[in-house]
Order: sequence, then C-alpha cells, then structure tokens
Amino acid sequence: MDTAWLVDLAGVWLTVIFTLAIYSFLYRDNPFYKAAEHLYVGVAAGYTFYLAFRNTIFPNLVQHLFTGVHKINAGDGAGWQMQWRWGALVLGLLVLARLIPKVSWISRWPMALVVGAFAGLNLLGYAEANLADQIAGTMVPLFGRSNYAPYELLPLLPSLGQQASQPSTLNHLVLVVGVISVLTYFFFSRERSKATNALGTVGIWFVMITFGATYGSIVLARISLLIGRVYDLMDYNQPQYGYPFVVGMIGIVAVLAVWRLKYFKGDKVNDGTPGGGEGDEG
Amino acid sequence: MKTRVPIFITAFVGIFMILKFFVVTPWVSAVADELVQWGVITLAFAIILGVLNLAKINLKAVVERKTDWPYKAILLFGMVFMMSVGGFQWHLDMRAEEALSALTALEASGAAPAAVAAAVAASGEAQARAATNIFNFAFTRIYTPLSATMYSLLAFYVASAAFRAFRAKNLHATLLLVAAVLVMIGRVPVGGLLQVDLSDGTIWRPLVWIQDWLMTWPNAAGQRAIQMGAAIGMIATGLRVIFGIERPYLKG
Repeated sequence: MDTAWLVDLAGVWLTVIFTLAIYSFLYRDNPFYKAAEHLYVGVAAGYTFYLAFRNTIFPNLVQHLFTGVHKINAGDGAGWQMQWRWGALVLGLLVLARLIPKVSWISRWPMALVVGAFAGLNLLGYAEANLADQIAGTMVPLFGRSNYAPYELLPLLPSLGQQASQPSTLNHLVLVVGVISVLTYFFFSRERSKATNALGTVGIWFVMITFGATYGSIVLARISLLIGRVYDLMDYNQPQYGYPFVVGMIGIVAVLAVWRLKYFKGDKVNDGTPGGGEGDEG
Repeated sequence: MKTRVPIFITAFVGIFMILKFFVVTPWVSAVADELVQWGVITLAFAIILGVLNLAKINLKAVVERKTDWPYKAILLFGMVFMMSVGGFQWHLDMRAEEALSALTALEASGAAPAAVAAAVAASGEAQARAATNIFNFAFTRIYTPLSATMYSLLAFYVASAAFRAFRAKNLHATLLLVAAVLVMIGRVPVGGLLQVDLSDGTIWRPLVWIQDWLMTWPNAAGQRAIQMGAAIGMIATGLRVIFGIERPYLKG
C-alpha cells in the first residue's frame, strides 16, 4: 500500500476519534474525554515550548549572540553592543530558579523586569490607543459635513439603501450619547444627581445592547466551530476510509455503555482508572 | 534583596519605558529596545518554566501511581511527542534553508549548469521533506482537531447559558435578548432571505442591515466607553506597579 495513503488514513481516523472523544463529554466526564483532554494539554504544552524556543529564544538570543561574536571576530565594533543580550540569558536562567525551592525567590528579579517593562509600555500604549484615539474617534460632527472623505453633508437619518455603517446625524448622535452615557454609568466617584442618574440609565441600555451583541457574536463563533467539526466528521465518513465516524461512534458508545454498567455505583462513578480515580471529580 | 531589588528593577525599567516616548535620544531608544528584548526572552523562559513544571508534576504523579496517572502519562507522551517532532521539523527547515542558500550561492558564482541542476534538485527535495513531515501531521491531525473540538464544545454550553440569560424579565434583559437575537439572525444565511424592494430599485435586507447597524453604532459606543474605562484602569494599575504600590511579582 502507498505510504502517503496510509498516513492520510491514520490522520483521518485520529481526527475523527479525537473529535468524538471530546464530544463524549456531552454525555458526562468519561475516560475517552479525559484521555483526549490530557493529550490536548500535553500537545499544546509541547507546541508552546517549541514555539518559544524556535521563535524567541533561538533568533533573539542564541542567533543574536552568535552574530555578535562573528562581528567581533570580523573586527566590527557593533558586535560588542550585541553582547548586552547575555543579560537576557542570565535573567532567563534566573526564571528557572523557580524550580529549586531554596533559591526560588531569585526568580522575582526577572519577573520584576518583565512586569516593569510591560507596565511601562502598556501604560502609554493604552493611553494612546484605548483612550486618546477613542476620544478622538468619538468627536464626530453631528450636523454639517462628514469627517470622512468626500466630506459630504451628513443626512439626518441613515439610508436603508446604503450600508448601515454610513455616517448620519442619528448614527453619530447614537455614538456620542452612547459613549457619554456609558461613561456616566461607570462613574462612581461622586454621588449621582437626577441628571446623571437619567444619563446613567441610558448608559445601562447601551451596555445591555453591547453585551447582547457581543454574546450573540460569541455564540455564532462557537457554532461556526461546531459546524466545522461536523463537516469534518461528515467529509471523512467515506467508504475508502472505512466509515470512521460511524465505526468510531459505535465503538465509543459501546465502550461507554460497558463502562457505565461496570463502574456506576449509585451516584458515584469509579471509572476503573488504576489508582481508583473518581470519574466525576477528575 | 528579596523585595527591594525587584521593586527597584520594576521602577527603573518601567520609568525607562515611559521615558522612551518622551526623550528622543538614540541611546535611550536603544536601551529601552534592549530591555524589551530582555523582557520577551524572559517571558519565553517563563513558558519553558511552565512546561517543565507541568512535566515535573505529572511525572511525579506517574512514578508514584497517583490518581488518574494513566491520563498524566498520556499528557507527558503528548508533550514529549510534540517537542520531538517540533525539533525534527526545525532540523528539516534548516536543511531546506541551507540547500536554498547553497543553490543561490552557486547561481551567483556562475557555476556549471550540471552543478546548479544538482543543487536545484537537492533544494527541491529538502523543501519537499520540510513540507510533508510528522510535525505537520501532528499539528493538523492531532492539535487542530483537539483544539477546535474543545472550543466548539463550548457552543453547547454557551447556547444553554443563553436560554437562562436571555429571558425577557425586564427592560434590560429584553435589550440583551433582542440585541443578541438580531445579531445572530442577521449573521446567518437565513437572515438574508428576508428582502424588501425599495422604491429606488435596491434590495434591502432588514435583518442583515439592523445587525450591521447594531454592531457599528450602539455596540461600538458601548465597547468604546468600556475600552476607555479599562484604559484608565490600566494606566492607574501600571503606575501603581511601577511605583511599587502594587507588587504582584513578589507573591508566591
């Protein structure tokens, strides 16, 4: 048999079995799900390790230092500047001190650098992108000419024949009132007057619409993932692969039925794991 | 040493990062960029620490035959397997890069056509080996299905939570429900089936249009205000961390 075909066949079966094993959690926590879940954690950890080493440590540390040494040997003074990167290696190794309880406190030093660096960077990054730019974006004209090219006169109401994102007086009013009212709702530093209370109430309406829209988007994103998995299961359920979905489903259901009959005692489940694992608590 | 040094490091590095934005001097930028690189590399080592810790804990559980040890053995197998095939992939990619560099050098030097043809063949073979190997298999046939299925599993729980959350008990819950339903219907193909012919001859899809309008205007207003609030919180927390009032890195 062709090796490529065998690899493809094995891949299809693995994909289907892992998918079904994870969906078996919809019945209840069971050995198939646990095995797939642990495999996922292991594979994800291994993959993250590989990425950290290949994409960060090797190019930014190892390669950088070697290039520096080569430059020094070639008489290029810039190589000496590159040797500062030894400091990163020392800090990286200090992080690993966490594994040795006696000296684990020393790992605070590199973490302090990380916290300080990213606190400083994010402080200004957030101030610029999430505060100043958002305020600037909310300063839109309510009447007159649009602030977007070709700077046409703003219509009073959105046009149904055009895209909903087209600017209009009503849309800009919704944006401005929405931002101000939600900010008022989240402002807790002073006692509220009648006016701020009323504005805050409008703010809650906007917050509710925002949360509803976000929730709807999240539900759809998850469902599109589910549809993708179901498509995979259907596409792979072909005679040339030996109907992996049907066979896998029957196999998993049969094993789960036996597992249930054998290990269920009252409400508690002893899933038969060596070591006496309590299935539902795992 | 245990508390003062880390506080000093955080304050020094944090202030330096802020300084970089305001002082346009090459050496300040150079030092700040180098410190960012140190931070990135330290974070990569922190990931390695996490993976090593995971391996240590699970290996101990397997050796001592603790509860659920076979699953922990599966975890360790998955981890070592992915690291090994990752390393192998790296090796193949480097071979492919070397073959390509050798080919480029040969072509530049004006070598004999036979030598160039041999280098082209070698490079092609190396590229092909790098493209089809066990790492790609592990990624597409193990990691991707497991990851996608794990996240898609949430569809069931999100949908069941929606039934509980979306009850029109009062005005606020009704707004939440209506916004969510309109967004969901407007984004699926069935939402586009409802069409209205306008007087100017254009076709208006009300559900799709309302969904688009909700996301562009009221939703953007809410998101924007929340972002501003979060930014103010972030700035305050950042300053507290830099000045040593908040010391999350000293815990543990």
